[in-house]
Amino acid sequence: MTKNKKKLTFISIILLLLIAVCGYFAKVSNEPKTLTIGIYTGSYWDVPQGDSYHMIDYVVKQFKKTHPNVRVVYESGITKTNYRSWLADRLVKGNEPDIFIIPDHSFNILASDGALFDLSSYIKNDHYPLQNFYSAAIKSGTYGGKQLAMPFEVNPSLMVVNTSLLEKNKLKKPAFNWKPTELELLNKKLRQKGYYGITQNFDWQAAVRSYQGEIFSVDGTKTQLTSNKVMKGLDLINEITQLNNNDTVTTEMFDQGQVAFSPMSLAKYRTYTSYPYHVTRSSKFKWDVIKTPSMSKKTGTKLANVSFGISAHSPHKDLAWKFMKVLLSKKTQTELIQYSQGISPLKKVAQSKAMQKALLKEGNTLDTKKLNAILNSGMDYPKFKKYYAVKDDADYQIEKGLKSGKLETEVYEIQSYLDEELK
Amino acid sequence: MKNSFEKLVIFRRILVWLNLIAVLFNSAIFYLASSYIVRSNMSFEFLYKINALPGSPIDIFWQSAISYLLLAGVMTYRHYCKKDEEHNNRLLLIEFFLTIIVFWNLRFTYNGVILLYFVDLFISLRNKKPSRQLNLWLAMAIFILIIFSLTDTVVLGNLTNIPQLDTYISFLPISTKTSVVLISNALTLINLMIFTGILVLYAIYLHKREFVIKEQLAKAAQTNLELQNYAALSSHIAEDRERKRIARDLHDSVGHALTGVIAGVDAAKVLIDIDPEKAKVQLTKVSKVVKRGLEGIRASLNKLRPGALENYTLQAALQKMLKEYSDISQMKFDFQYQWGDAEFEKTTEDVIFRIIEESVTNALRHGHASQAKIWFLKNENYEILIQDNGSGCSKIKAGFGLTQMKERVAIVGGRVTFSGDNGFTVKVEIPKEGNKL
Repeated sequence: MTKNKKKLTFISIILLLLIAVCGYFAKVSNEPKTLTIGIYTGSYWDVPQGDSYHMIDYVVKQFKKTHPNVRVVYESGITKTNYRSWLADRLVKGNEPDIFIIPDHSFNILASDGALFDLSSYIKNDHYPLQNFYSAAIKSGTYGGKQLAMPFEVNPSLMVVNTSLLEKNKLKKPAFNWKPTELELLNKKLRQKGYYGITQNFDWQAAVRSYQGEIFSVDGTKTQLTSNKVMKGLDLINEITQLNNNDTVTTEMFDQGQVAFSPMSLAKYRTYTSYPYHVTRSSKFKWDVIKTPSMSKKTGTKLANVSFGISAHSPHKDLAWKFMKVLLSKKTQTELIQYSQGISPLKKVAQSKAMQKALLKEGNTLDTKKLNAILNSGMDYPKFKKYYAVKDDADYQIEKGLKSGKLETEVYEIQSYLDEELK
Repeated sequence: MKNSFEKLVIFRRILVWLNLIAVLFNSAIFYLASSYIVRSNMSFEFLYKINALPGSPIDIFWQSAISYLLLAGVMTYRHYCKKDEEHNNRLLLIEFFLTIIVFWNLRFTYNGVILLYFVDLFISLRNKKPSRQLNLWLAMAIFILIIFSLTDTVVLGNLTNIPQLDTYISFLPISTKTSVVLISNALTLINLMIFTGILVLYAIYLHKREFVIKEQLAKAAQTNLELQNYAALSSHIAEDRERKRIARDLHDSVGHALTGVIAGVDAAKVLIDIDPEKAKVQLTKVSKVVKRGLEGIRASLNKLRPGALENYTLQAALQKMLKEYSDISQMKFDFQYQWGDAEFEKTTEDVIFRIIEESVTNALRHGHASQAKIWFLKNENYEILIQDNGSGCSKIKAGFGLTQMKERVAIVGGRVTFSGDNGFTVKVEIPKEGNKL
């Protein structure tokens, strides 16, 4: 073969390859793009819910208006309990949806595995107004300075007060913003009268939170169980437990009017105050809703949320971000008021007339003004991969200590054990 | 020598195949292990254990396999198609990027390909002369080695977030885990062993090559020395032979004549008083003998002339000599002869011939010239201009046979001047008959 012939063969092979590649891309780009979404059926907040696909179908419809050529696909029938392992399977196989709900207690793990795409560039390019959101809700989606998830709906903790019981015992109802020290005092007095101060839903974590304590350092390298704030919280819960003689104070007991306070999530509150559930309650007492106790009125509220993230390996990140914006649009969020029991992370929607109307329909104890204050006091938590795993360990150890009444002596041991777990 | 290089090439080929197996093996682990993890419902636990998610395992498999095949293809193509250096360098660069791509496609879990590229780079750099480019390639080689030492998954996994294959393997059932780890370790070990083997072979190859070169140089030096000795000896023999011939000639002609002369003169001495007429006759005879002796001496001296001049004219003899010279030395001559049929005494011709010879030798030996013009001009006097393009010399030193040249020219009544400014120039003037310088 002459040199020229060789060259010709070489060039023609390259040309053929180029044509093949171009053809492939032309074919791919002509095909309608498919955006896959990961969601689960049922309520985000483990409360009964009617039409579970209404919201997603609504969002898809809105999205289709601007992107008629995009197919939007989601797998139906996945329950909330199965969702986490379903998504984990998909992630391991590498065929996860383009945009998906982040399962409970999984954000830290997905974030540290690099499974979530950093949205900061989109936010910056679109000048996307993060200030429209409650800051704690936005912060819950950050990891290592990256915005990896966006809150779709939030669910703050509230405190329901049996005002009748307090009046009966000639105790003054605490103000909307109240301190854990007041709880301690009221609990003592109620116990003397044979009632209970607060249900077991107020656990050690809630007690620690009321003092703005955090059992892990921000970087997740150390446990700070023996820090002043955490110790105060632990002392509080220890005292309540001791005074309760290790009795299990259930919400049923609250319903029966034996307990003065019960922490409750907004979604639970909205569910049980609305028709038909409120009819089933046998309670015959007046009640009110206040903030969970906190040393500062600006913080101390546990803020659960449902957030969406975009897969780091998604080939359609742009589309996923556009879909995300539809999810977080004012229109979608307003529609959500009717269909979910949480509340929008968007300040304007959370304080809207529609929201106020919905709340009033459910009862007159809670309004948007109160909710706004509660949402503004949302508390962030440290973000590191082992957070939930080690916190579960801490929970087990501390609960054990509380039950045995030896928490005070065991706390140092628990701390060193947890420090070992963090390594 | 050839043997050890061939071995090197065979080893390299084995390394290419071994890496193919390792790449397929590693990428297959991604796929098979993740399938197993999903099947046994350990996905969430796995997400907790793994450092980073690598993306679709099927994609990893195909991307790794295809990019590695491309790399192996380019390597093989480069080895079988010896092109110019620039082409070679371009291909080496493509190989480098492909290596990085393969490494990336395997999510940094297998760095054996880096060793393969290192070997390939080394083998192809073996004939390079030291240059800036070579330094560049050597810097690259060092860079690659640094990458290699840093890219051990254990080290890299601790430094940055990359998926660790060990995590995948740790989820496999015990029996499978053991064999996978065994195979994986064996592949790494064999890879390293072959790499070391190649390095050793390469060192031997380099050493052998150096040794052979040294040996050849030594041989050449030896031959040179022998030649010098032989030359010295043969010139000595020639000198001796010449001396004997001259002695014989002198003995035959001059000695014979002088003996005759002595006898004749003695006879004349006696006869001059007795018969002056006879003495005259006798002296005439002596005169004849002396003449004959003189002729003998001339004949002897003639034999000492340059061989070339004996059979050729001056022009032809010079042309022949210059041609021989340029054949040997690749030196080019611009020879112009304008003297026509001018005839000279043999001594003069000898002198001219020797001057040209000496000048050309000097131009080559001392001036390292590649060209010289030799012009024979006829103006008022006969002129010879010999100018070379060599280094010349700022200060003309005696030696180089210049003094001898001057003396020779003086014998035939001529004049010689030298100049070392622009190359080296020798100018000879020989007077025409009747003229005087």
